[in-house]
Amino acid sequence: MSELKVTGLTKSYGATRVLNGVDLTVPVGITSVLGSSGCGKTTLLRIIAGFLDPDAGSVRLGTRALVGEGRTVPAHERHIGYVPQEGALFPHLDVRANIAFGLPRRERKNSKVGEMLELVELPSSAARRFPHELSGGQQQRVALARALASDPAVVLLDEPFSSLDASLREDTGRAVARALRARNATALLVTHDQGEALSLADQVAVMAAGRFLQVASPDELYLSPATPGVAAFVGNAVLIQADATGDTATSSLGVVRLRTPATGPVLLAIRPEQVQVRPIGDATGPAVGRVVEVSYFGHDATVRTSVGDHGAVVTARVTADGVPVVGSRVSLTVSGAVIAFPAGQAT
Amino acid sequence: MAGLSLMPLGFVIVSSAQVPPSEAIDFLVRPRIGELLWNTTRLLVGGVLLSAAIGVGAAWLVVRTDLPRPGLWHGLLCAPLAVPAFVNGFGWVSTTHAVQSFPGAVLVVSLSYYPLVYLPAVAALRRLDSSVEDVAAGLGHRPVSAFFRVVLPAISPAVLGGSLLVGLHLLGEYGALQLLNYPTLTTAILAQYASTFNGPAATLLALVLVAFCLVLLGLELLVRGRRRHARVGAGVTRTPTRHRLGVLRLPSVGALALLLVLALGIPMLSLTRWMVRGNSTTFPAGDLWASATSTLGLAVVGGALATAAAVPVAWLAVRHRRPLGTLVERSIYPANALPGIVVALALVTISIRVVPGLYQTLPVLLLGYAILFLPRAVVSVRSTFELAPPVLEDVARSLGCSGRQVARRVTLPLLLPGLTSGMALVSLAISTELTATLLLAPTAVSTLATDFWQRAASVAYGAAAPYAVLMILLSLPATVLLARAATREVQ
Repeated sequence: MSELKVTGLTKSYGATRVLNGVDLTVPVGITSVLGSSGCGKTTLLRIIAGFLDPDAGSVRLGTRALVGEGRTVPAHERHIGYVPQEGALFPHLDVRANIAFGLPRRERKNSKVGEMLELVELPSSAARRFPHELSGGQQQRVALARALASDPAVVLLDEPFSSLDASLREDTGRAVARALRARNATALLVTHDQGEALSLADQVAVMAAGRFLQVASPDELYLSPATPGVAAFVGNAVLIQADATGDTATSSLGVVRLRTPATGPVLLAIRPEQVQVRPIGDATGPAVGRVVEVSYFGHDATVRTSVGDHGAVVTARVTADGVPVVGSRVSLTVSGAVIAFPAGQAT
Repeated sequence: MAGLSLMPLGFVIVSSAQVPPSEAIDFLVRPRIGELLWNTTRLLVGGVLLSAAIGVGAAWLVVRTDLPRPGLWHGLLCAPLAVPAFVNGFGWVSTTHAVQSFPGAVLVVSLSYYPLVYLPAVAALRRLDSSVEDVAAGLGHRPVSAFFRVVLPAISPAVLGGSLLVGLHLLGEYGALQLLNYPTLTTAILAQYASTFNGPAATLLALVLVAFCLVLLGLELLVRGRRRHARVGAGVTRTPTRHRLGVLRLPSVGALALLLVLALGIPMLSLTRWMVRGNSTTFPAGDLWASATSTLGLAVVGGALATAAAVPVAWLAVRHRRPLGTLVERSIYPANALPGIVVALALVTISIRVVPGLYQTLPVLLLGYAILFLPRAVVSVRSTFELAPPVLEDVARSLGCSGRQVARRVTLPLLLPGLTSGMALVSLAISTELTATLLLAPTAVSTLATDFWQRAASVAYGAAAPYAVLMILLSLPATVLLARAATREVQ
């Protein structure tokens, strides 16, 4: 398994520019490309796989140029595994034949299939079943086994879990990540689900409008977002204007402590878990909000409150026993240090 | 392919244009033409409506109710496909002359052609998630109103497509209507052709017929509009709940049984009777054998030819949804709308004028079959192409397959069932084709259909019967394949 390097990739469909000079290095391990639909992530994947040609830029695998620098290696000579949405197993072949599809003819009979089934945690009895006899999650695991069987240099996964229901999605995701790590694979996982990206990947690349906003490890991405846009997307932070004076800033939520000193107008990124909601009366905080909406999840609840004259909506996460009534007025306090961005910074 | 398919249409227009306008107008405003138009129109309306009613009703009973033995009923309801309309007409006429009337003609052609609506309706009903009916029930609709407000609109593209096919077949039908003594544009064209061999009258009538076909195609497009019927969301498809028939169970079984008696029983009984009792009955084993082998040979070769030609057309239409692909695909449909007689007329004239050596030879006959039946092959090949999404080919390429290997290991195996059923469809049509064969077949070659026709037309009913029986037996395997395809397609 080797390192994949994408440089200056550009692609337009007609007048729409889908990729806008994308650079990315994918080391061994799982890298996730996170972005909402239409941001260009699937196009990026298809160019790496060789199904699409870029307008400009290059893709290198280790020391080998796949596209750009005057040459284009056809898809079937790239040794790049591909796991599309919904698996796309060959419906006319059973699981064994699906997994062995990419192997040279003489190797299709041997025990590789059993080894791959074990890797993706499926019973060996599944080998004789046909795709329509498998559940969605099982199909997805077989699709991964098929991609990994021929020892590809890189595995590309295109929203592989989006068609599965919530509980299956987590299990399948973890199983797929385990299998990839067991093979010491280089994998690129495209997803719009930030939970999936943060929990499965070693490196996350946040994409919007054909470019990367930030490429970092999951914790770095969450704790130190590079832009207000990343903060809002990853971690659902609310962006609030404030006036900074050194270590603190004044906003409609009162005076909050800043993680790094700043001066002048700033944009605060406040996460739901940083906002504390208390009933009005005992030790009323610096800000008062009206409860607009409550989403109860059992283990906790999200409370959306409207604050101040402009009706800025602040989201707070509260424990299951402290849920206020919709329409009531509550006291809001921001705890801990808050990330601030200079007010003029682009998303 | 598209050019070849449009050739007969061009022929009709060009030869009609060569007729002096005044002469043409004189010919077309005669009362006789009015009568033919009226006959054709009311047969079209009556036949299409009755076929659609029978087809949809039977499909609903088989797929959506607790009718006993639905599999058996399905097989039996498809069986009339194996009985050509002119054999059905023969069975009725030789039983009672009461069918030589407008209602009789409508009844007989509907009994022959309702499977063209029934089959797509079964496929569509099976594909339709029954939860839409559950939702309608939840919104307070009774089953009947749910059927008309939800189920029928949902399967309407399939029903419309089937009805269009019925209409086009009715426009081109010659044998049955001739036996039923019901004159339409098509029977008039053949009569003109027999008396004047391709005089201006035949081509002018053909032009009117072509106009009819185009109006029908336009109507179908108009009614279908921009409807799209897709399943929304990726929920699990439930096994359809079947409606309990309750007290209607017996009447329903009775109605289906009556339908089968009329569509299958009468012609079968009549054939058997003529076989056993007819004075002219002989079993010329040699003639039957020769006729059967040439029919089979033509059916297989013609079927393979049309299917092979359908592959590039369907591929263009599915994978290249651009104006060119659509244009090519659309341009082949008018050929199916043209009755066999028009295609045959065109090929006869063109071969005599351009390559006289080819007149009444097998290549021209096979070409005629290919032009006539290409659309059927395209329809079934096309739906299989949609079962082979491009993403499978992408995956195969990422697993190291070159273009040719992808075709051999993925695309072809996925297309094979569709190619087989397309070929069965065309072979079935060829083995029962009458009009074009009469005109185009080399003099030494006779098929079961033409042999049957010669004898039936000269009222040698007993002599004709064995050919009809053999024709039905030969058509059975293809019919079974089609019946299975309607239920398999949905899994």
